[in-house]
Amino acid sequence: MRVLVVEDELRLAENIATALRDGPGFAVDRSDNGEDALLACEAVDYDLLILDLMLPKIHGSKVLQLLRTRGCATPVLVLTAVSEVKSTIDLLNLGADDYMTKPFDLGELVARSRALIRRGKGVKQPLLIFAGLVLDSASQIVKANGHEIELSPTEFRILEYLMYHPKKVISKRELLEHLYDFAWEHHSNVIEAHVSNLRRKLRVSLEQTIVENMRGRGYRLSAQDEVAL
Amino acid sequence: MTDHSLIRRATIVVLGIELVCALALALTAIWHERLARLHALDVALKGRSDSLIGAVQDAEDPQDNVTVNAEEFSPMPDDEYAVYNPDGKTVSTSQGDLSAVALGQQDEFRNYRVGRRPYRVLQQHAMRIIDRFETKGVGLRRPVIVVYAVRSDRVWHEVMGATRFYVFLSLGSLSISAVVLIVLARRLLLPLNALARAASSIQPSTLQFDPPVSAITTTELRPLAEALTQTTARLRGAFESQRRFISDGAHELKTAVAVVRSTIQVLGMRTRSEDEYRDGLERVLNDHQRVEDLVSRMLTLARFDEMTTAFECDIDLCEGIGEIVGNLAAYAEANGIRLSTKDCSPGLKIRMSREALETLVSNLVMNAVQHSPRGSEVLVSAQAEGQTATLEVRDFGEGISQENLPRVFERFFREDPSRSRQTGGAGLGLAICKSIAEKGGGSIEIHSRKGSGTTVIAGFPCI
Repeated sequence: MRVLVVEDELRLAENIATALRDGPGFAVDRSDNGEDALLACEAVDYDLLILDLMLPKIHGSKVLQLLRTRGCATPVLVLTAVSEVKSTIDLLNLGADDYMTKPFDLGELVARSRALIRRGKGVKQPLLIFAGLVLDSASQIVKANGHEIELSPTEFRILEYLMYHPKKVISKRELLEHLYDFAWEHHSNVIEAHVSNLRRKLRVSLEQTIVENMRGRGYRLSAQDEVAL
Repeated sequence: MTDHSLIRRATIVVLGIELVCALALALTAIWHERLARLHALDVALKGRSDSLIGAVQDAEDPQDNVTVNAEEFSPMPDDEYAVYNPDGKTVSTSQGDLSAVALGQQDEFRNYRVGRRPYRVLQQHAMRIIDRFETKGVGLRRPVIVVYAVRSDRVWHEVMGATRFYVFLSLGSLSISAVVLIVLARRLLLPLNALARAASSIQPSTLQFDPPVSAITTTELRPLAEALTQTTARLRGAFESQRRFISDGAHELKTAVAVVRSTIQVLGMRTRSEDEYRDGLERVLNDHQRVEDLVSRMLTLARFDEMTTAFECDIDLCEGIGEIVGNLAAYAEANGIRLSTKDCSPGLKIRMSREALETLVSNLVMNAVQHSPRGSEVLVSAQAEGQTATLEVRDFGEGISQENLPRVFERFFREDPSRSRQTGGAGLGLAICKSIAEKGGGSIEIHSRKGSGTTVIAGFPCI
């Protein structure tokens, strides 16, 4: 999952980014003003936006408004210093999905971020389930037919992204975009290596290939019986 | 303090003037009426006196004595008369008290008073001509003096009777105008009352004042309504900037606290090595230092903002600057900057506390040092320009872009958005300087060009 943290307070942005990387293993980009945030949102399809309000150049609420009028549906978690009811209502009406009042708890921020991403993908329960495979985002445990599978953090994130979009062809490019931040060197063969390791581990546990390699197009999560069709 | 009612005053003044006018009118009427009546009385007196003379002439007396023909003359009651012969002997008199008709020196109208009764008296000579057959038609001439008196006190009754109407009319119009005046004043004050109601309903939350139409369309009330509108607008502006300062300040403080908290939480997210914990604690301390700095700067700004009176003590600008710059020398040196004072004219005194001057100069110098490359120079000078003492801090650093220049005195404005940079600060330094300059009765301005340096000039009235 890839998250954009828009916060002009450098130390706070650093801490949020660290928490999101270390905890759920999100790829995190940062931006310290409203203008750059809008540009970043145009370039990348983020899974979540964490947005401070008092931003230089373009105010946070204006950024939110512009994003929504441009049809961007990315979930937005607003960080605000004001706890007035009116401004909260205004924020939610502008299209914010959730808000947190500073100073906030980082653990809560991470949990809310996870929930917002899940809801953004149209999933209601915290467990992702597909063909005997159960993935728990919060505890980062994957079980195949009840048995836990050991996955590396990148393998887990690839599987998580695929399970959020079951039966849909996901290109390598899309995977790269959602799993790595701007700081990362983009090499598609890195993805290939991780995907092939993941396929191997899942095949052993599930006794079927559920991560389908669509040559030249990307990957698709599909159950055996459906592949046969 | 006693209450003064404008309406009561105006009513009393107007009614007083009306009363005086009515009195004057009544007195004039009485005076005029009295003159007319007195004249009429004189005419009547003359008439009655003449008819007495007629009665004297017509009286037939076998002895040719002068008498009064009682058939031809019947005096009015209370009238008194006397007929004298030229020797002063009484020929004929009325029945009453004759002192009023005593013989006078000459023929004339005169006034006479008997006890409480006033009389108007006419004395005139007349000739009784007796035609006798024996003298072949040549009359005997017998001169007489006729004195006739009428009571003149009735004239006053008649005058009062005639003028009573005017007096009552005046009193009536006086009371009507009093009532009209009071009602009219109440009615005229309705727009003022509406304005007062509107003014008293100004809410502290909105500070919005909409004067009632009746007040705006009243020429006399328009200035008051406009003054109220402008005053509330000014107050609204002041409150708005205060509110913005509080809201911005809350945001800054909460963000700074959020940084500390998040740094601690990141440190506790997983087990770390001793070195990592040590680094983490260092970071917590740094983040905490920024909270302290922010709080102290906000308090400084609030303190100078809250000062209601100007500074009460004087300070020698040059001495003060010398001392403060001396204290900052080590700081400048540590940043590789040559800090020096030049053009300091001694004896320049301005009205400011030592603490305020120190805050002002050190803020400006530290700003200059932070925005200058190592090895460059920062110059502080103090000079007199007419009645103004100017304090100038000049650097040859990176400068400020023209678009940001007008905003540098705004609270929490930072040219460099990434606040954590050493030079960033809380964005309050120049705002504090501005507040101090204004409290010192002076002003502050900034000139800068991107790439060639910045000059801040604060001007204060000399004393």
